[in-house]
Amino acid sequence: MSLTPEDIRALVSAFEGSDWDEMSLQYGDTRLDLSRNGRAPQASATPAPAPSPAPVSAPAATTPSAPASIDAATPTPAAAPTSGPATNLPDGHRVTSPSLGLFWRSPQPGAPPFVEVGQQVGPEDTVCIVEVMKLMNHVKAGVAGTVVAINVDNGAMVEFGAPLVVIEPGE
Amino acid sequence: MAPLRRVLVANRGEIAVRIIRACIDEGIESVAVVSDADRDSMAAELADRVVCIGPGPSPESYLDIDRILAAATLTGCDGLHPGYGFLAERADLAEACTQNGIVFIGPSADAIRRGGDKVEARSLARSLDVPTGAGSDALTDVDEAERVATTVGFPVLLKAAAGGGGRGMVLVEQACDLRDRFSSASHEALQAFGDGRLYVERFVSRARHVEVQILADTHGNTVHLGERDCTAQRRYQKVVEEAPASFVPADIRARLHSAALDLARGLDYVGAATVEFIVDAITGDFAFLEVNTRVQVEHPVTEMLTGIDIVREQLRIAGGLPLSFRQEDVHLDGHAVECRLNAEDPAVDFLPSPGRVTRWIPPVGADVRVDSHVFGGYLIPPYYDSMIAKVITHGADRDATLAAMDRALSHLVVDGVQTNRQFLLDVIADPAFVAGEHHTRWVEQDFLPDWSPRTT
Repeated sequence: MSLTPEDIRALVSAFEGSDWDEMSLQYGDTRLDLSRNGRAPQASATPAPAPSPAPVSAPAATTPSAPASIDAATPTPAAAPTSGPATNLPDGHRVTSPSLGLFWRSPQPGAPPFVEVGQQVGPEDTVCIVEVMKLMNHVKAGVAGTVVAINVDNGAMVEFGAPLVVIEPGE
Repeated sequence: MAPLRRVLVANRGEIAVRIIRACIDEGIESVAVVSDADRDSMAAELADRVVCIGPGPSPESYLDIDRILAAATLTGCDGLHPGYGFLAERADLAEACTQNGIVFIGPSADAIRRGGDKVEARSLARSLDVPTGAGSDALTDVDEAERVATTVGFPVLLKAAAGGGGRGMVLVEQACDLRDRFSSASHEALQAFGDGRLYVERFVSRARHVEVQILADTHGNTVHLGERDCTAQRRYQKVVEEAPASFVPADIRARLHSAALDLARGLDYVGAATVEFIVDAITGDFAFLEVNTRVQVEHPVTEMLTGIDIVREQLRIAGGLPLSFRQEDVHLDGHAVECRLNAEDPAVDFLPSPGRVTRWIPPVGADVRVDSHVFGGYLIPPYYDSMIAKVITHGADRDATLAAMDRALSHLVVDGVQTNRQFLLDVIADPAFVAGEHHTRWVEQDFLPDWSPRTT
């Protein structure tokens, strides 16, 4: 399992477009360390493996939440990436997180996501899972309508009340 | 074990701020969990990171072990401090931390269980020749309760084995009431604590509440930091705490210190603990009451007297470091008093008074300390207990310390909510309190009937 040249180009491009100073990624047998402004990447700051089963997603829209490790010999444990800000969301019914936890788009790894943008849903349809310590909370749409936005990357941590999915109500 | 690098603060209010302060002083990163109602809290402001875990009501936030653990694991914490109350004495939280590779800043789950089971703790005390006072072990049978109560002599207290902290206690004044009270108390205990076992204890009508602060590390050091007198209580909730226990003879205090050390060692205790005793104000006898396997609300009293930072020591202990001092370095210097300022209305039976604090000006002074999470404009949420600040003063002797407390409370400004500020001023000025004649029921039985709130 390793990164393709296209993956690396996409990651570099995502990094360039972000306001991060450094990024360190381990994916399979590939390690990618990126930094800007003449800073040497902290090669010894090994991130903990992302919570399985999702691979680490390109953090284009997110800000790292873990304070940077200042002691290279004993790096602080890494933290799960968090969901993006709630600005720029289209109008509609916001499905918010019932708890702090991990956001999953699919019932299990490898399965198709519960919803995609453009999909019609009913109020009792599951739109995502918020996992709290292995307990999978199925989050329902709450209204009938069309999914117009999915605000969170698969596998990201969400806080209580964070907007997850936006649905434009209508039959 | 390695020194902690990032601690999850699994609490709120003033103790969350206190833990964050100790983390700052120890160079440890802090992650605060907040409920939706605490997003704008002082702890949220001070912590290195804050995560919102649930709605205001505690069962879906501060009392939810899964959400708390998720917060710790997802933010990369290697330690978790439970504070006091909430989940602080839940062995299942300690276990869940261990299972997830997080250091629980407190004793082992086993020590929590053994200390938290009041009957087992009494039995341990007896095995160590620590006096436990007349009473029984766990009873499920009302006939046995009747036999013990008759032997001990009425009035008796029926106490829940899984209770503690002033909860789960029923006074039975006459033999004819025992059978009914026993079955309702057992039922209530089952509802409240999941355990209907009760035990009988002789009721001491004039009691002083004296407790001993313990710290124990993983290097074999178990020390005491002296005692605290918490006799001024209203409905078993502490109102004023002080140290030393000036009205208890020195030889009794020394025996309390030894007994507390023996109990801590008997529990293989690691961390901060407080061993509580009841001292019969009439006979002078003392008896072990319970052990609290956590840091206590009133810990600042001991800190002011000893100069030792108990919460920092907790962080050090959890990181595998030895205590930063030895028993011979503990000096109890002068006197210290703490008053608990609550957002409550003494005119309406001390009903909690949440709302927005429009003005907050804490007192200042050379030996005044204020532990609080309140600031001007802060909205006190309705979901939690009403304590908004602890005001602590320190002086060369008790009179000087009480005079300093009078100045401090007189100059404390809190507008927008009702508080017990005037009540506290009147308690510490009362001749019975000043003379040390008060006992654990004094506030309700003797002070309050003659007291009325007034606007100044």
